[in-house]
Amino acid sequence: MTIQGRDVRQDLRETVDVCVIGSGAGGAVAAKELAQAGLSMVVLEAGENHDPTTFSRHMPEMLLRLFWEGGMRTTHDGSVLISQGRGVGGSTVHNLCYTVRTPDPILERWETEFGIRDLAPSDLGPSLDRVEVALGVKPIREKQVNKLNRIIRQGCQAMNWRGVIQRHNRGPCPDCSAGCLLGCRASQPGIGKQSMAVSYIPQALAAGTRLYTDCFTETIDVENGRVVGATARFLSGDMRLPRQADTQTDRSNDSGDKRRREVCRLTVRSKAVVLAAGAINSPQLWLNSCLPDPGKQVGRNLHLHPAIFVGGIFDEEVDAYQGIPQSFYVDHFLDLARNPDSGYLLMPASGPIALVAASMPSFGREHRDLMQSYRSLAALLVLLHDRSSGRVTVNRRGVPVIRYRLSRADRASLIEGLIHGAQLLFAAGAREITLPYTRRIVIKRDSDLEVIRQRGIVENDILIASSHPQGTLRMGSVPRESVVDSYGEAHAVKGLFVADASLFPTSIGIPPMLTIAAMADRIARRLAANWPP
Amino acid sequence: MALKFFSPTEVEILTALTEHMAGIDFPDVWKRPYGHEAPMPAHSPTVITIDTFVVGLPLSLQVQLRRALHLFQWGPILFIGSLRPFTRLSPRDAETYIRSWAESRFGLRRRLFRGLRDVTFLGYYSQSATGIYQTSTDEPGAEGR
Repeated sequence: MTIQGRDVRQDLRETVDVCVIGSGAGGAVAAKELAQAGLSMVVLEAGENHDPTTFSRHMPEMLLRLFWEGGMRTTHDGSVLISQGRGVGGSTVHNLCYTVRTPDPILERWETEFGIRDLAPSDLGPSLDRVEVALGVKPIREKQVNKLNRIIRQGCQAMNWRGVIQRHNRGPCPDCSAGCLLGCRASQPGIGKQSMAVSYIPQALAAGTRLYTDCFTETIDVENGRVVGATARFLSGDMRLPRQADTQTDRSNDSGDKRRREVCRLTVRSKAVVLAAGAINSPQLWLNSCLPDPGKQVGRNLHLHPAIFVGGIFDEEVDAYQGIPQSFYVDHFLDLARNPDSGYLLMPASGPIALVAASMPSFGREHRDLMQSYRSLAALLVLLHDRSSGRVTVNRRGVPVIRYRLSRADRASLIEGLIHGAQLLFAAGAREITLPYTRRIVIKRDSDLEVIRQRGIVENDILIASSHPQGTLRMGSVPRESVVDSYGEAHAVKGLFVADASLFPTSIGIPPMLTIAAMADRIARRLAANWPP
Repeated sequence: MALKFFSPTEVEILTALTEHMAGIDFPDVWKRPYGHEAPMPAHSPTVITIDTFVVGLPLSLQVQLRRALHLFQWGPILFIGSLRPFTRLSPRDAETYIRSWAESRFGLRRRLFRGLRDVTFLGYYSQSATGIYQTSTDEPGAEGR
């Protein structure tokens, strides 16, 4: 059953076995597994319950509907743009469906360096298998590879680098385009993008879960070191707009605004809480709830997988926005077996024209001239497996403050990635390279690439984006160095589990959806098997 | 169409900013929509789109945007020694002025430049009129079928 916050007109109370906060790649899986194990469940989701048939290709509208802070969330200095999904299905509604299994060297590293038990590749394997079946993961067929991805593959082959056609979680899709990034209009069970909203959530609901949407969790409630539930408020009617209500806690609501005092609340009493609100909002909620943090680790260890766009302008039309946006990627520079904490992927990049415009350098006539090449643009993202780590804190209004600064080594890796990306595009036939610096630099041949080293990576001089924040409530066996144990349960709060990318002890280096879902599967199954916590 | 967020002054700044950022010329009717004799304000679709978008943003971002617009408007006095506000600069001076933000050694100015640039691009390039650059993102991709 789904209860939409906008329809609620009174305070409500629920008493259940488990309360799940968040309905993305972690929360949806946990909810389904626990509900099917026979536990009574509620899921609290701050965003809306999307009807995919209402998704438009109007970017401003969809940014507000699908993303936290309208897609404008940034680090505190504005240097990294962080896109995170909100609404039922979380980021799986707008992601581009790379379904990559957790690399063995990463799991081995987590096990040996962080003392995490039962997380060898053979241990997580069954969870990954189950998630793949539930999401309908399958290889992308050759005829589904669009021209952008073929060009990138051609350049990769010309450079003699390693790359691979990936798998994805899509059924037959009549609507495949770069608009995928704004939600799949065809999405339904078995057809189009198989986000959590059309795969796990319906199964959780069928097993008796009650899903509250437009319902922002304000606190996780703890008594005597044990979780007892959560308190949320509904964003109903006018409360849904302006959306600043979504990211602030009660402490912010003392401005005298009468609308804010009319808010209805939901009080949940439960034996366990599964926190799966994402690597920014989960630590935010932890800190706003004043939960114990003996190791002072909450919010630390933030990794972002920072990504920078490299565009190649070709003589022919590429029409990158047509077809599946990402099917191939270059993993030649991500050798985790030899170098587990650094490297990068080169991934095809396409998107709505407004997004491409933001990725182009300069302004005015110069920018407009570059935009004339939109149809002839083939672009890459350099996605960094970052060693730099940042921190999520909250300000006095309870709003997350994200601090992150690239280390010298990571800047060097990004520069190397930009150069390799440009070389690949030249090898594929690009006549000019464009980079998202504020001032355009002209790169028309390999010998021009040195200018990238000279320009370097300077905050707010080049557009850096992130879609994979992770690591802010990390797992580990030592409480002073981690927040949760090997099975996702908080060291300091009995019955509180974490099941999202916050868990990751290090950057994972690859698109994380499958790993998040598999970790949630593992945590939920263990919780159900050892019930009550 | 009535705007929900921007004041008349801010509309004027935003309209000029969009013209300079996107390298276009709006019709005059959109440039000074609040002349004393104007019976009904007219706004460019870009401004309407940005206004609708900004209303949905968190309060902190709304405040930042508003401050950035006003700082940008009166910045010529501080940054290029001109007594004219941004909307009254000649096209050449306006470009010099914007470039001084884009290439400033102060991170905050570069950040505000990027923020204003991205918001104006979001508004401008979300208009169907700019679809000249593409066939259509609405078109189903044959390869995906």
